[in-house]
Amino acid sequence: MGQNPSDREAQVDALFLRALPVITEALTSDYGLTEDEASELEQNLYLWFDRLARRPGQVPISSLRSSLLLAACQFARGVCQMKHEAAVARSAEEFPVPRYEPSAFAVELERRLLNRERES
Amino acid sequence: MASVLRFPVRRLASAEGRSAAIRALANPAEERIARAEELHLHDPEMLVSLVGLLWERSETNPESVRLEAEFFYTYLAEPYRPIGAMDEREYFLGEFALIAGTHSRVLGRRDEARLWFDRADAFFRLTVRVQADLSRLGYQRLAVRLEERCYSEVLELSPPLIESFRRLGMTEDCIKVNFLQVLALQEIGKLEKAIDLLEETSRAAVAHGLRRLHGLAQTNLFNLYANRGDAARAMDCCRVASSELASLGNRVGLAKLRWGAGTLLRNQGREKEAVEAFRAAIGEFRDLGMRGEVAATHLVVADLLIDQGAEAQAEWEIRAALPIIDEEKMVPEGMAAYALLRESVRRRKIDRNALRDVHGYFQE
Repeated sequence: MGQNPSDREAQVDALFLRALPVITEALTSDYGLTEDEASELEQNLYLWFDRLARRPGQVPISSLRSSLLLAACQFARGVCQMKHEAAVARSAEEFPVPRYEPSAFAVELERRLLNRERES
Repeated sequence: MASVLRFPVRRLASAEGRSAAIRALANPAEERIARAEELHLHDPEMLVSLVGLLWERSETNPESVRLEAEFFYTYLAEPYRPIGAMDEREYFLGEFALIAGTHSRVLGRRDEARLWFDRADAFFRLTVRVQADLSRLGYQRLAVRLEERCYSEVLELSPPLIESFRRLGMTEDCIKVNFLQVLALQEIGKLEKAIDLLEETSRAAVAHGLRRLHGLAQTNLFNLYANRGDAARAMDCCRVASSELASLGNRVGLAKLRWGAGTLLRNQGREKEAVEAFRAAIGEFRDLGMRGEVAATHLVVADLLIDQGAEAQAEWEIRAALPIIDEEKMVPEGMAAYALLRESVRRRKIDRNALRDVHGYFQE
């Protein structure tokens, strides 16, 4: 491979950290997760993203940003769905599952991230 | 909270993935399933490292890579096992199918390769990096086209594939497509154009630090210069290629280089030495499980032996090639020539034209 693996690892970390504030905000505000839930989801998202970047046929890490945001939305929707089902099973107050599709909301997150980068 | 967030439990750190993959491969396939938990067989960290290991071993032991990829594909496919998060189950199924298909193709099992490629296609479409992985699959499908001697199709379909890789920023894959074009150009007799493209490819590989592709470009240049009778330039390329391939442990590349040396010696009229070089290549191809190359090289040796008046030995070489051609159904496009050759061997009077026609169907 042409690129040093440690360079790629550094790029993966940098991209993830840049996107993290927007992801955290979406998880807690838009998806209604608690901070602990958001944090656990983010850890698992990072592990998945790190493996995605190591798949053969190396693409530039920067091109994986939209996949990261899409995965964040799909993970979050999955958690909302599970919380909803758990609430129904307990006959507790229902946990709302966002109506927006992960792919559409990932585009919104991309826009927020770009705005944030322009402002900083 | 853990009862709410049902993410897979992480058992292996990324650094442990590679040693787990080596351990999994070191265990005989028939013992693995019983020890699946202990060997982390469905841990995505182990699997992503395993994928890397199999591709690394591609040119040292293609037959074993094919069998391993088939094993892991089958293991993950049935019964249904959730793997990792998001698209990982589909990705690993697609990747193992691509590896199995690629190595079936390399080993001359074209029908099996096509089925594996269809499986890879079906699973890659369900993943997030679909464009990149379908483009990688497109490369392998184009390589099959080349092996089927569809040269104009290879030349027609290469530019859009190169453009896909370029747009995706996949430099290494982009450069690899050049090799398919070079081989197609060579086959339709555009030797000078093929050499120019290879020289350009070699420079691009050096510029991007892609040593494997540099070694491959130099091997191909060696063969082309040798075919043209330019022994001095051929030997320069041979030295560079040999050093690159040896340092990377590329046994397939080294075996092909040996084959090229046979061609060079033959073109220089050193026929006995050429036969020795080709026979050494046969031994290496056999060790690597590359049955197509074994059969093709037997036919080349037979042709040389006829020139030397050694018809009986030539017949032996052809008899060694025929069962492989039969078993692997290697020349479906050249069945008429194959039947003539077979019949001529049965009558113990070799049909030289049929021999050359059949050999022609093997050439990449």
